[in-house]
Amino acid sequence: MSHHKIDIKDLDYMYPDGKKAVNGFSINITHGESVALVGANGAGKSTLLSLMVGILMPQKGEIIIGDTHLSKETLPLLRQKIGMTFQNADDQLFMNSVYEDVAFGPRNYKLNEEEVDARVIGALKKVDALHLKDRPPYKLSGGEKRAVSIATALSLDPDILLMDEPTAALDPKSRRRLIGILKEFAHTKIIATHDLDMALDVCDRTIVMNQGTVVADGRTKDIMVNDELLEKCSLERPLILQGQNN
Amino acid sequence: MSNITGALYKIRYLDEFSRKKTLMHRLSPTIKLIVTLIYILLVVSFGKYQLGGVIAMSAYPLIMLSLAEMPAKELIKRVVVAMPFVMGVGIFNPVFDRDIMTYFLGIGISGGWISFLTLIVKGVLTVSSAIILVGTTGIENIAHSMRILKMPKIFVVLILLTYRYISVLMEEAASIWTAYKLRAPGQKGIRHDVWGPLLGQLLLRTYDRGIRVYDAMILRGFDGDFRMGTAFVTGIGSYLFLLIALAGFLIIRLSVITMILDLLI
Ligand SMILES: Nc1ncnc2c1ncn2[C@@H]1O[C@H](COP(=O)(O)OP(=O)(O)O)[C@@H](O)[C@H]1O
Ligand SMILES: [Mg+2]
Repeated sequence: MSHHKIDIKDLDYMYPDGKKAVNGFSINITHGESVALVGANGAGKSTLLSLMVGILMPQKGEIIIGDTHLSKETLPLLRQKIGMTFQNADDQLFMNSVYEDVAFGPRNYKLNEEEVDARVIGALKKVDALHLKDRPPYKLSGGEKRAVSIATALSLDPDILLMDEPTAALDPKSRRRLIGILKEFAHTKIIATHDLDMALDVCDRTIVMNQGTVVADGRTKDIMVNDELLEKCSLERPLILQGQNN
Repeated sequence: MSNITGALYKIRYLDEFSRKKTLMHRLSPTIKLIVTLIYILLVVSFGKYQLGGVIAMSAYPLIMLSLAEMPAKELIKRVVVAMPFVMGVGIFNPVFDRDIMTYFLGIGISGGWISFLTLIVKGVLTVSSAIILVGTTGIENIAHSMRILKMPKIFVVLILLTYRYISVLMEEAASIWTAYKLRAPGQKGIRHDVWGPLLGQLLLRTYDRGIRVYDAMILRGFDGDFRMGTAFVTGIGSYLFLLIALAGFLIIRLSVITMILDLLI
């Protein structure tokens, strides 16, 4: 059974206060694709990611991961296959050491301690953070926290990686390093961001979201030079493409 | 400013301290939990005028403190936070119970004052022993031990999340405080008319963060059971500790009882 493809059909989500954050959203993502989900603040990116892991449940529409419909019953199964990092890495790190934090997921799935150790070391190596393993997470720098929060997702060996604004609040050097790391991953990934330079670097495909729905879906290279579209969604061309004609 | 950031690091002091490797830290978490629970029950079981007895019980936290190499200052700071609650419970004892029970330096001391003091000492001792337990064992290990002792899952999760929530709450409070200070330089404390909005913001922010932290746990397969890497081994040292501690408690508890019996006869 392949878990790598994602099918979202006509999804609606309204917050309890009546705010409709996702509105008739449909996409289709296949195995190994790297997709940027871009849109201004409030476009509904975070809400969509929360729906995809069942933190929120949609009022309408469906989400199919691999061959499995997302529902209360299938959630535990699906969550093993989807790794997610939050916009604020602090919310994701709650144990006393980096090692314990990365081991938290594998231990919950009752892997034996040898396997847990292999997973933790492997995940930390992938994000270049093995040297941090005994540090308390709350004393790390922003870039280090981000790397570790990604490792906490990787240690579950997910097929799909969802990331919410991974480059937000990173200094240029940490951001560069993170981009390097992200490019290495072979996972199917969806990166919610308004860092269009990063999107251009890491993702072949871009989905533009505005007011809870898809307004454009295509190759990143094409979308990033469509000034009219970007303007309409309160976005700007990546710096690297500014001053260039189509 | 420096003391604000300093405070931020202090919030997690106990968590960090629990990773030390002293004799006390290495004892089995389950045994330490059992000993602490028995200790708390015994302290509470003293009669309301048995001031001498509860004072004798302070031997245990004092010995633990030195074995765990925990600075007394850090313990006292945390105990002080809990004291207003204890005082609130006993504050009316001296008012209602005015019979003179004993004389100290020629001054008559009423039963109310003695029971008030006894209550405070009981509070200090139970809170201290709990803090020492957390500081030598770590909250996750304690939670795991509670499950080994078959305490209900929901109860254990509640304790665990409450403990986590306290650090989240204090961190948010520190960041709101910093933001306030930056825009109100040279001002002592917080102006009373902005207390309301600040407090409201604090609650909303911590609630949101609490939910997100919980979501993050759920996403990684958390089902209410905290699993620690190493299985707890209960070595000969732990059993020895259990024996010595229980023997010590009993001696203090029983000798006080005998003393009282002596007085009555
Ligand atoms: N908990 C909430 N309650 C009510 N409205 C919310 C909540 N969270 C987000 N929203 C609203 O939903 C919309 C989409 O938010 P969000 O998904 O966070 O967007 P993005 O991640 O693209 O910035 C915004 O208008 C936001 O104000
Ligand atoms: Mg967002």
